[in-house]
This record gives sequence, C-alpha cells and structure tokens, in this order.
Amino acid sequence: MFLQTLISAFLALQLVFPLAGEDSVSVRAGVDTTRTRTPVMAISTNIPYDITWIPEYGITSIPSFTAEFYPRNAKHFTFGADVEWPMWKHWDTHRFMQINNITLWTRRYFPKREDQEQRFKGLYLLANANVARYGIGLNSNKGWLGEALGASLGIGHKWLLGKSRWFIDVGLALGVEYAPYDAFFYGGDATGWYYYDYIGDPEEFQLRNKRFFWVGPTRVYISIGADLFNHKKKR
Amino acid sequence: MRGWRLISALWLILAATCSCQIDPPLHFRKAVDAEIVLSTKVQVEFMWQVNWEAIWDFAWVEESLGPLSYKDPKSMRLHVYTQGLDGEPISHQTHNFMGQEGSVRVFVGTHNFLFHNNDSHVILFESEDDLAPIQATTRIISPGLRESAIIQTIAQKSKAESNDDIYTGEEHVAYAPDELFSLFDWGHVITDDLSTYEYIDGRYVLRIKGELLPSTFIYLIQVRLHNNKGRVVGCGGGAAITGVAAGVNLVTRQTWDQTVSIPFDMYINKEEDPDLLGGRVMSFGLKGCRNPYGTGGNEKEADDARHYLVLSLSYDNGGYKNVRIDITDQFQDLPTGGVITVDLDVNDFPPDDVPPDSGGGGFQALIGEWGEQTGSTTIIN
Repeated sequence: MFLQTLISAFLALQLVFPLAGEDSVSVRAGVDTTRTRTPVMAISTNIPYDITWIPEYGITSIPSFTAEFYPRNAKHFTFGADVEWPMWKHWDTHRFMQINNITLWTRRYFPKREDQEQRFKGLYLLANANVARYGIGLNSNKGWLGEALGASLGIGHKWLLGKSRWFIDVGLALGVEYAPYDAFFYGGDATGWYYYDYIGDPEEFQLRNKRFFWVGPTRVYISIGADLFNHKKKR
Repeated sequence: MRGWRLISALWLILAATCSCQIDPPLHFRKAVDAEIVLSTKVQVEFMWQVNWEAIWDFAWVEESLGPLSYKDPKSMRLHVYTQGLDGEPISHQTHNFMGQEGSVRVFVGTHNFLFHNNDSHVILFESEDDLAPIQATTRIISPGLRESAIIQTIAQKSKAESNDDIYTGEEHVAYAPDELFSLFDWGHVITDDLSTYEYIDGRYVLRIKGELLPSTFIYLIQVRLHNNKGRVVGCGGGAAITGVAAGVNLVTRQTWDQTVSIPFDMYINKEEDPDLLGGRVMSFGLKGCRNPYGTGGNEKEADDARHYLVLSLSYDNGGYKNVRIDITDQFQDLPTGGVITVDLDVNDFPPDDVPPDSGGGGFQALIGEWGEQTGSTTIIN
C-alpha cells in the first residue's frame, strides 16, 4: 500500500512538473569532463510519522511522503506536496488508522548566496493547505470517520548532510483544521456491523453532523530525504 | 514523454480505484419504527385432543361456570433481545401493546423476539437478570391461607397417609395460572432496508410469522360416579391436581422441574347428569417437559412425578370424604391439555356415619379442627 502510494504521488507530481529540465548548472567533475547537476526535486519522509505512538491506539506507522520541487528559474520559492496514507485495519480489535491526507505547500527560502545548489537550503517559511479523509478507530467504542480541510503557516530549516544529496528537514506549522465527522462504534451484535453514533429517524440523519475545529500546531516534521537531480550531460 | 505520462495516469487511476476504501462501512443503529404484527391468530381448539368434544360429557354452563376454552389475549408484551456475536442476548427492551400488533422501536441488528400476553391476573413473570429468559409461574399460596385452604388440607392429608415415595417432598400449593400464550422468534434481522418490510396503508410493517401457542394448558376433568344412587351430591371441598409444573421458561418452552399442586373446583349438574362431576383446571403441564408440542412421543420423559386428582366429595348425609386418584398415565398423555375421565364406584367409598354433634356436616376450615371425623382418604389405582 505504501509503495503504491509512494509511486502514485511521485508519478502524479511528474505529470505536473516533468523532471527533464533544459537549464543546468555546470560543475567540474574531472580533468577533461564537465558534468551538469541540476537538483530538480527532493523527496523525504517524516520520521515521527513513520513510527509513531497514538494514545489508546498504540504504536503504529503513518507512512509519509514529501516531494519538493525546485523551479528552475526560481530563486527563493519552491513548492511541494506531502502525502500521508496509512490504511491500517485491525478488524479483530476494532482499531483503524486510515488517513488519506494530501498537503500542498510552498516555501520561501532565504539563501545566503546566489548559488544554484544552495539556494533551497537553510531557513524557510512555508504556507500550506491540506485536504484529508480519515477513518480512525481506537477501540470498539471510539471511532471517527470524516474529512478535513486545513491551512497553516510555518517555519523550517533544511540541512545538507555534507556534500551528499541527503538532507534533514525540520519544521513546524501552525494553523487551523476543520474536520466534519461521524462518530461510530462497534455494535457487538450478530451482524458484526459498525454503527453511527446516532439514534433517531434515518431520514433526519445528516452525514458528518459533528464538527471538529482546531487552531494550533498542524504539522511537525523531522524529515530525512534526498535531492534528485536532472540527468547528467556531458559538454 | 507521452508514454511516461500515460503510464503515470493509468497508475493514478489504478491507485484511486483500488485499496482506497475507508472502513468500516457504517450502518444506522437507529430505532426502526416498525409496526410489528403477529400473523397468527390463536387456534385454541387445536391445542386439545381432536375429539375432546366427543369425550367431554359434562354439561358445562359457561354463563355460571365461566368459559371452558381459551380466550383471545387482549394485550401483548414484546421482549426484544438483541443478539451479540455469539448469539447470546446483549440487551433487552420491553414493549407493551394492545391486541396482537403494535408499534415498537427496535435497533438495527439481529434480535430475538418473545411475545406473550400480559393480561393475566395470576401469572408472575420473572427472570434471573435482565438478559435471562422470562419465566412464568404463579404465586404460592401463603402458609396462613394454606391452613384454611380446603384443597391444601386435602392434599396434605393425602400426602400424610400416602406411602408413595415419589410423593413425599414438600410440594407447594400454587394458584392456578390463567391463559398464557407465547411465541419466541429467534434470530430476526432488523435492517434499515425498507424493502424488507411490508408496506401497508402508508406504514412499514414487520410481520412476525409464527404460532402464538398456549403455555398454560386446560385440563377438563370429569369423574363418572358409578352406583351413586344420589349419595354423592357434589365436591364441596373442591379438588386439586398434584405434581404439575410450577412454571415454564417462555423462551425454551421447557417447564420447570419443580412441581406444585393446583386447586380447582369440581361441579355437578344435577339437572343434566347427577352422577357426573366436572371441572376445569389450567396448569403449566408436565414437569421438565422440553416441548409440549412435540410429536416424538417423548414429551413426558422428564416427568417422573405422580399426578393425583384429589377430591373432597360431599355426601347427601352431610358428610364428606377425601379421595385421591392416580391419573398419572392420562395426564402424561396430554402434555398440552385435554379431557381426563375418571370412573369411581361410590360403593368403594361409601359415606361415613355423621357424628350427631357434627352439626350436619358443616365444613371445618382449619386443618387442626378436622380431626378424625373428616372421614378417610381413599386411594384409587
């Protein structure tokens, strides 16, 4: 599932932002050879999400994937997307951790040098918006199923690990999250059904009749990732 | 590039259509307002022997003696037991309604329905806890009342003078139950799919099909008096039937192992037949009977009780005599009630001489005052 998600997101981004770029940065790669290395995007994963602990649920994983695209002509701005896509279903214990969250964001870097390789490193500000759907069940009596919309502003920092293409990206975002949902519970009867936490005339039932509104931290990440480069050319 | 994008698009379509369902699917645990209708009327005639009218000779006068057969229940009680995964009940709701249909609100799920009439004046409904099966029984006659009760006196004397090992336990005397009908419908699925209901006159009707069968049974008892010659003039002391089940489990229909004696009245219709006693008694039937409506012939396997008909015969000289008659075989052959006929030769138990100071045979209610002048107990069979 996670692999499928990863590949899907990667391919989706390529549809919009093809990897092949014509402009390049020349570097010395040898005595007689000049190679071009053009970082076009970065991929990373958020470690605290990948292995996490949720109260009343336990240790689990929220597989996360982040892609950041470096526009070839931009000097400060990048844009990207985060995808979290856990689809864990523990029917025997009535625990569910299903989140399909997509966040689109943009970052404004503050590079110290007008260096093509270093322009998207260091401190940055970010703005993002997300959309999600979820089905979360902690036990037989606590479950929520719904959707969410959110927006936030944040700050972060990206460090390159030496001369390699690997980096660590750390950040925090504050904002709002609006999540209509329905609570559900396991009926415990012979049908094996899960029920809306609702008693009344079904014709008067309104889907997502409960609301969750959150103001505060919306995203914390300590990611590890790598830059991906354009194909190499010889001149 | 076009090929790359095509592959990407196909992959996205695949990802979007596969493995993306958020579970679990949710249902309405709503209260379904359903008109629950019992589709079966009470067919009381078929509960007895098919030839009961042919073998019942007593001229029963309903105007004075009351109805002979069952009456349709006037009001019903519905117990809704919601099943858990293991089929055991996890919740219990009770609804009352008039007649044999009514509106109830039940949750979506699998339920057990227990119907019984709740217009009884005598029957007690009890259960060990809220989820346990409903048991029906009747109140035990209190010790104080038992002291002055005619039938208890008769039964106790019969017991005291009996050498029957089976009938040596402390069997209480209980009030006779009245009509009790019940139906247990197991594993009925209630859905929010209205197509599973019948739509009648703008209402969604859930029709419960089943037989609303009696759980108390009518025994018509007649005693043919041979060589009477006017000596026995009635059964003024009343009568009793012993060894009948003290109650019944309405879910399983199994009767209790505990037995009681049930008092009732016996009559004589001098105009029609002065040599025939007749009476009607209702009871829960055989003890430990798993299924009174079974056809396998083993309905009476658990019934190891002896069943006696106890009579207090009144004589024309003012005396009376207690008679105990073994009717075990007939009673066990009638797990759902019927006609029991007993033949008695009055020459076998002639009236005793009445003591001059007895006041003409006036009845002494208290057992301690009966003394020896009460005559003897005669055991037939």
